[in-house]
Amino acid sequence: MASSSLLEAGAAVRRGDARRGYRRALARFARHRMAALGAAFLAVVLAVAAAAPVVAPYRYDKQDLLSTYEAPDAGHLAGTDALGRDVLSRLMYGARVSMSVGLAATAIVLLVGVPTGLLAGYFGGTLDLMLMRVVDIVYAIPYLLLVVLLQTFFTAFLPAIRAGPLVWLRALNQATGGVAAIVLALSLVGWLDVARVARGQALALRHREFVQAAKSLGASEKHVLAAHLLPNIAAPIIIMATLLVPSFIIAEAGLSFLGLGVQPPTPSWGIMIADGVDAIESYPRLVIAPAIVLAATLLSLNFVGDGLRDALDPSSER
Amino acid sequence: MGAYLTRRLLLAIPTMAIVYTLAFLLVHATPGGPWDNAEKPLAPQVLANLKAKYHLDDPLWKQYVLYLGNAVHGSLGPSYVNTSQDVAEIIREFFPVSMQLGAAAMVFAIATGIPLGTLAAVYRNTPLDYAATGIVVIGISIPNYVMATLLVTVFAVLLHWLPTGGWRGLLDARVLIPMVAIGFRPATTLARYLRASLLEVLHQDYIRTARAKGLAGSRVVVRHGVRNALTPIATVSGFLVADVITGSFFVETITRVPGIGRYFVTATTGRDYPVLLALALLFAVIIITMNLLVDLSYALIDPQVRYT
Repeated sequence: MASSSLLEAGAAVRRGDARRGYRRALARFARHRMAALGAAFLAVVLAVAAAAPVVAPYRYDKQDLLSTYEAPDAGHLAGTDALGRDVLSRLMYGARVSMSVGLAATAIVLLVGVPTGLLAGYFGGTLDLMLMRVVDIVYAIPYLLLVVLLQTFFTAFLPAIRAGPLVWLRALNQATGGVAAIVLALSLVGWLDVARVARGQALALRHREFVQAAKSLGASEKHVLAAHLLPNIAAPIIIMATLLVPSFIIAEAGLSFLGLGVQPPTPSWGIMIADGVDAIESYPRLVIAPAIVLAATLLSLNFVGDGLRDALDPSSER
Repeated sequence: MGAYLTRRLLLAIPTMAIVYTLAFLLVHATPGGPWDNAEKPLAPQVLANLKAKYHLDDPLWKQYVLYLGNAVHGSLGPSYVNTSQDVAEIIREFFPVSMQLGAAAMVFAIATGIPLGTLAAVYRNTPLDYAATGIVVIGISIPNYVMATLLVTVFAVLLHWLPTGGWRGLLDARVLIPMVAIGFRPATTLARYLRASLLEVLHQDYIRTARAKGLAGSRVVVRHGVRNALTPIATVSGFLVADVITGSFFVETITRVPGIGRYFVTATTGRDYPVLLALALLFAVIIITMNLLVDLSYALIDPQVRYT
């Protein structure tokens, strides 16, 4: 009798467990569904960015002063702006700027930050000390303020390079409509954050048993770093990268909004928002269109990052 | 406490020195200036006079020392563009507006972020929690300039509930849009950190004790839970201040608030380098001061923390 009531109680607990597990699985599924949705949206944005010259109905700088501020119709699916330029085409070309800044800056900060942080954390010493001092100082200044100052410098400095070893930078900047300067300013500050995280990871791992074991078996420092540390810090670094891409996209659009980003007529979502604000009372769609596209892209990146985090680090259940 | 405070203030000096050097070099290395006008170039004589007036022909180290000396005495130099006011006067005129707006945004962030995070933790894994998480995701992903334009479009242009911009002090409805646009992200940051730290606190034994002795649920959460969960929150407040400052650049521009953030933006596009330099220093001082206040506030929140 007693045992059967115990069994019943156990079954009830198990039922509760199952229900809770089911609910948790459902929540996780919902999160991953958002991640899949976000990934699909990002794939579209990337495809459009890559193929903008082919798929855009007009060129981004083609003006038609006789049909400015046109409402959306068959000819211009998203209408035209103050200079009669096709808004949809500009959004498509703007995706190019956002995506290339986000990906290029992330690639650079990872390439510079991960090795530096790894070496600083693993070996310690002067490099580590210097890195941490720089990080401390930079953390006292808001990221965007620093980037604005750097970018003020680069937008004036890069076009002024006439000769010397940096001439290619000027050419690159001109060819990309100012994207090179933005990537430079963003990564010059951004790599520190990556280095800090990589350093912390290396610091935590360097006394672990598997590292000690490898060392006692006679592995070289190079082998330990490449074969044991790097793969083990890959997951947190990838998770961090998924946060870096949207933060760089936000910064690019912000700089362009302030007039410190890409050079007109190259379209950026930030410039389109800034231009749209001027006419917000009469033509709100000019500011809504780039704002929505930017917000959707950033949300998608966030969902994909969340999905990746759950996939790569199952212990981080919230 | 006094010794700690002195040490922290002394530590702030090298940080400020490096910020100043960095900003100074950057501003002086930047080619060109407000007098570069491709269509109507200034006469060489005029340019020479301007350069002499602003000591731009002196060696760099002399300018560096001169500016620093003046800055310590409260004179931040002239503005290249706005010739009727010097930088100190500009700051006196435009900074109070940003202070008020920034304070309002912080109050908004705290007044919405703390209840949001508390509710999400107490009602963990319920629709309420998911809704709060959704709001947090929006706050993390959407930059303040997008938030500001969307708020203006919806509440001012489409619904006509609020004016599109301007500033008439804290008691005017015009403050609402910029306040929410700046404070939204800090609010969600607060909510996210509070939820995480409160979830930890609510599993502690003293919470069970409080419940066992029959305290009402809300009293347990507020008196025993939130209070103990606040320490990690103080840590993020430093970031929040930085968020509010950089947020003011964009939001003040969009909503036409005559604050120092909008002036900073005008100065970057107008290449008004002395203003840029002075404002960069001002922002750094604010951040460093706030970080110091945050560290001191630990002692208030957490009696275990003692500064010696």
